[in-house]
Amino acid sequence: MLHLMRRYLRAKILLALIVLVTFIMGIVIYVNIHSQERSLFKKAHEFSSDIARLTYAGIKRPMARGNSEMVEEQLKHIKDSMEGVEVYICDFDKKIIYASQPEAINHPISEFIFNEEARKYLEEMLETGHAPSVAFEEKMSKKPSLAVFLPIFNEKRCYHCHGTSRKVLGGLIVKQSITGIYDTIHSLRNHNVLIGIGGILGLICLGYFFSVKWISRPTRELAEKTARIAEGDFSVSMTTDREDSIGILIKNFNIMTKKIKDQIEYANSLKFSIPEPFFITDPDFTITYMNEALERLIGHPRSEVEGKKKCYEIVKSDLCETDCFFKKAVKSGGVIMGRRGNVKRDGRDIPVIISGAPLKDSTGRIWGGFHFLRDISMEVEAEKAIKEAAAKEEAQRIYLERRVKKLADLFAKIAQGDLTGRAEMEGKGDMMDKLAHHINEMLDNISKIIEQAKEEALLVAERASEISANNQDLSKRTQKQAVSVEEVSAAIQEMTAIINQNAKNTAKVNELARLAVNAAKEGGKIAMDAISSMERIEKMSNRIAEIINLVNEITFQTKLLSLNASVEAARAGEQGKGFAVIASEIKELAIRSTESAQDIQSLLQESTAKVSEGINFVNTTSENLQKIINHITKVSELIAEIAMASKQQTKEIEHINETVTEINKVIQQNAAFVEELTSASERLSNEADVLLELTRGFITSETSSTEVKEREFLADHLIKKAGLKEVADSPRDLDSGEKFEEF
Amino acid sequence: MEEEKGQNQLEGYYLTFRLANEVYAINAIKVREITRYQKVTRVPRLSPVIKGIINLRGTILPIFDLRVKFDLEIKVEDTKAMVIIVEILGRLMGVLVDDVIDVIYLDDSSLQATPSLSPKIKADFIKAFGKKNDDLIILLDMDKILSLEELEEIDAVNEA
Repeated sequence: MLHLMRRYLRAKILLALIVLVTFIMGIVIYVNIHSQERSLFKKAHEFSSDIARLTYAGIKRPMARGNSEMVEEQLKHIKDSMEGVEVYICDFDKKIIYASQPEAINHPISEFIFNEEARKYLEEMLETGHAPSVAFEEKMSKKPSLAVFLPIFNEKRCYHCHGTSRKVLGGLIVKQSITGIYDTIHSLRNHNVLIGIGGILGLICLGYFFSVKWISRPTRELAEKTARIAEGDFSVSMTTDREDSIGILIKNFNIMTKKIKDQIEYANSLKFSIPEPFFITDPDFTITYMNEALERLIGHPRSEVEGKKKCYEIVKSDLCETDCFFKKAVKSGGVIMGRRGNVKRDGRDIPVIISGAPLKDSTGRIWGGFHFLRDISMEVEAEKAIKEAAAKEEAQRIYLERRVKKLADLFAKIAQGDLTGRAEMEGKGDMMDKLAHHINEMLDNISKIIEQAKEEALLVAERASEISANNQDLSKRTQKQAVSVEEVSAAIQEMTAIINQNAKNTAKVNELARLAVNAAKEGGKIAMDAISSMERIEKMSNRIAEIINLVNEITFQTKLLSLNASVEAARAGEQGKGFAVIASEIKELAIRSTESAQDIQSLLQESTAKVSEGINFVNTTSENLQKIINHITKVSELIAEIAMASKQQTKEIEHINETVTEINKVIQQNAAFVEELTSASERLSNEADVLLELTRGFITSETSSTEVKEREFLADHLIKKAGLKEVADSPRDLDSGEKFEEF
Repeated sequence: MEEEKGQNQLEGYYLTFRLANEVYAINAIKVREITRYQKVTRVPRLSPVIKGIINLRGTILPIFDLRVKFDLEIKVEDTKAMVIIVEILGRLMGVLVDDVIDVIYLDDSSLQATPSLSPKIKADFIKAFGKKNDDLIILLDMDKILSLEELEEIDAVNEA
């Protein structure tokens, strides 16, 4: 059983279901039965109580009257009509007085009550009158029954027989058979238990079915698949549409499988992509894998090697004996890098470089080795070729050294001026022979050049003396030229002074003209003032004329008044005579005033006319002044032009002066050049001498000693001659201006 | 009485005035006032002799133009012109003259009666000719100077 449980998930689930369902269902059934029993007993109790009260109600009246027959009748009726119901009435001595079973009368009640507790309660009731609220179960007798007590109190109507001393007269006991109830309880219990067991079985089946479907089956499948993966089969996968933990588990399983596959694929692609030959061995050095490159290298097909041959059978190396990385790796986990070894192929050795590393699993255990081989036969070949080349080069070097030494000796001789030696030819036709040939050619040419140089040096010396002679002449002329230019310069200086004076005078005239213009302008201003004064006079005259008019008006009025007065006087006759004289006087005055006014007016008119004449004159004057200003301005402008021209002239003269100075400078430079030329020609002579000396040092095979001597003599002569002439023709009098035209 | 005296006796005070270079004189007794010429108001349909009317201190007076009467050249209005207010046959009226000269006394010796001119010329309003400082003065009789029609017109004006 335990074994089964450990093995199968189903068994575990089943056991758990059985325990759980049985427990829950058991409780449910128990509670159900208990509550049914309780309610049945309660019903029976109520029923018994009802019978007791009814019976008491029925017998109360006959008992009060003392009608015993009626009571008995009543009880008998109960007995007949209600099966299983017994009614007892006892007195306070617990003796039965009436009973539905007549045989029980006069028996103590305790004979019919078997429950001890009930007896105790009954006694208490008979004493105190308190009826117990519970029913008492009687199980002791053959027939189980339920007993209910009801006290019979001493009421007023009972006093006539029983007196008032007692409170309780007796008790009414109703016993009811509960056999039927027990039967019902038993049948109900059986029912419940049966239904419960059925339910438990059903639930267990259902639970088991679903648990198997949802949990057990997919986990078993998953287990099978993972078992296959563990065996190395990675092609498995599972499909699910579930989202719960098992669904996630399945999805994660799929992802995990894919990741593992990817890793394997990665490792494989690494393995297959390595172009170098390599193989993998197990810890016993047996080759478990080799690639195509290695196949080509050793010339054996894979099928012959894989799982059949040991690594040291294929690769021979001293490494295997002393420094096998496998053995080292077991000790320290090291790696070997690039050791030389050989691989046999068709009976011949192929040199290789071996590298290797141990392969470990996740726990660090070494499960194999990884070996790289690199074919280095090409490199070995190349090494050999390089060595050969180095030997050849050494021989070449020695040969070249020898030849170069010979040439060096030759050059040493040449350095001393001996050009007669020639380089040796070995007839090999190599670069050294060519070099020797070219050196010989060069020596020939140099010899020729030196010969020519000797001749040329002589010629140069001759020419130098000629140049020196010509230079003297040139020097003289240059001096004369300089003097002439000096004179021209002086003349120009004078001219410049005159022009400057001219310009100054012009400026003075200009200033005077300006003053004249100012004076004229002043005059114009005065004229303008005069005009304005005259205009004021005119205004005043007009004012005076107005006043004269006023005077005229007054005199006219006066005259009028005097005339009127005269008329009045005339009309007055003799009396008005004196008055007439006065009026006449007044009139005379008026007339005289008028005349005076007229005189003033005429004078004023004359004055006004004169004033306007004056204005005209002044205007004319002003115009004339303006004309004068204009003319003077024009004159001033002309003078300014003249001044400008003078300035221009001065500038031009200065320019000429500068030019002359420039010419002078050039002439001075010329003189300096001539001097330099003289000294240069001297140097030239000296250098020609030196050249002759130098060329004399070279020994050329073609030159005969006599010829040399002749030439040397000539050269010496020339040098001396040039030197003497130079001393004689050194710069002389510069101020002799003759033959200027030649310049 | 004065009139009679005037008719019989020419000697007396005269007001001399100038009109178109001639000097005239009228009896000074007849003269009420001399005033400056002021703008006249023309009254329609009056004879050309009546130049118009003026308002002299509240009195409406007709102005009589002697130039029209004497067929002289009509002068443009002159500020120097004067008006002599005279009494003609009990009527007050203004006479427009160029200039009033003076009030003079003429005695018989300096007067000469009107020479008999051609009867065709109606010149009964010339009373006499006077002489003063070699000037010839025409003495006018103002009562005769206006025709009946003219007087009626003046009356009409005065009544108005």
